[in-house]
Amino acid sequence: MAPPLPPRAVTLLTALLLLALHTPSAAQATLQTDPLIQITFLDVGQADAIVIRAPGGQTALIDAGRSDPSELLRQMGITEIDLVIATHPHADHIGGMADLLNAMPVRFYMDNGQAHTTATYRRLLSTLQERTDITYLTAEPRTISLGSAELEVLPLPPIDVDHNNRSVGLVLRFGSFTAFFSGDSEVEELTHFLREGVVPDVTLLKAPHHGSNDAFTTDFLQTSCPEVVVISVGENDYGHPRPEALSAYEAVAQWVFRTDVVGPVTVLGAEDGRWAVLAGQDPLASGRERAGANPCRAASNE
Amino acid sequence: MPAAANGPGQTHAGLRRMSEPGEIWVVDRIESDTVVLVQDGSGRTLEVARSLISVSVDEGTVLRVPATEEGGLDWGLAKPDEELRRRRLAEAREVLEQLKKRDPGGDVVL
Repeated sequence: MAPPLPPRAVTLLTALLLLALHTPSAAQATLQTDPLIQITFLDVGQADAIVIRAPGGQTALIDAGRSDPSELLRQMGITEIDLVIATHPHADHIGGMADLLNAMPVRFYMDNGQAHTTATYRRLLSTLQERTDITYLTAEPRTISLGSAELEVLPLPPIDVDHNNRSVGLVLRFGSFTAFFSGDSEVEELTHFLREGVVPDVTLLKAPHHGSNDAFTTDFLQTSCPEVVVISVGENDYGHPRPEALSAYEAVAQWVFRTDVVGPVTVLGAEDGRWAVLAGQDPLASGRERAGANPCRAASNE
Repeated sequence: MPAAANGPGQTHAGLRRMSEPGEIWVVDRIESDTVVLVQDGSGRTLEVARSLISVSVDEGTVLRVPATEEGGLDWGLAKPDEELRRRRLAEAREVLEQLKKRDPGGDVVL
């Protein structure tokens, strides 16, 4: 297990929450000792690498970018990882995985169990074969406890679909704070998740497929109803993020952030649903999980 | 822009250096009209406009790509190696089956 966040970082983050949340002083006093979950979208260009740090110090990494992210992780004070998840075997998600597994201790590794034919994927498989100290996990419906936080692994669609549409789907829960991650899911998989009834009202949505126009539906966004959307994206020729996707996210979320614009984005969540967003150490936004009936559906019905 | 690649106009026999079976490039994914390929051996990635590849490709397609006289890659003459693709998938699935035996099953506490 990785050590908890350095005290100075916790103090800074807590202070930001305190400044931003405008809660009564009694509640602020409580918050000062409240645990926080930290989700950092690393700035890895046109790729994904997302770090989750639970209040108890457990660390998970969702995807590993195009090249070894271990130096970026060390800069965050991370020297070992409890769980690494490869959402799907495309090179912009697993390109840095084999090097990472060799660069620092990793306890568990999970993927979608779908084979690929690239040298990138074959090298990763070879590394996993050699590293018998790493426990392999299949992405089947199961709960992974990170102390007081939980990662729920969502049911995958049938095997005979393309890699994007078999990305590992994850719901992170920490009290009232909830986040949804699904790699490069496109309409087909998002519809599958909706059909399975596993899409909750979330605080944070990781925009699927780097903000592609094939990676959102109105129904999915109204159901997930995120307060914050983060798009992990870099310079590309594919038009990511697409204007249609940006408009759709902006229609439901209070805030939409892009790593190509603000660099690494960190979202902090408290158990009572309060959240704050930082770019580096600069505060970007803060708020609270909206309570009551799904406000996205309510707004669309007005 | 996708990386420069030699167009069909440069693929006639007079310009071609016949170096079969050619370099192996594998389709990692397709993003809109761009094919993202990974080179065997180096693991280097390259983006090529879909229109420059004369054969139909999908993610996982293994291509043997001949070189041009100038040393470029002749995407117009790239040929799929279906047998190699099938063999790689079978090998990978076998490894995955072995890895799955390491899964303790059920919920996990970190």
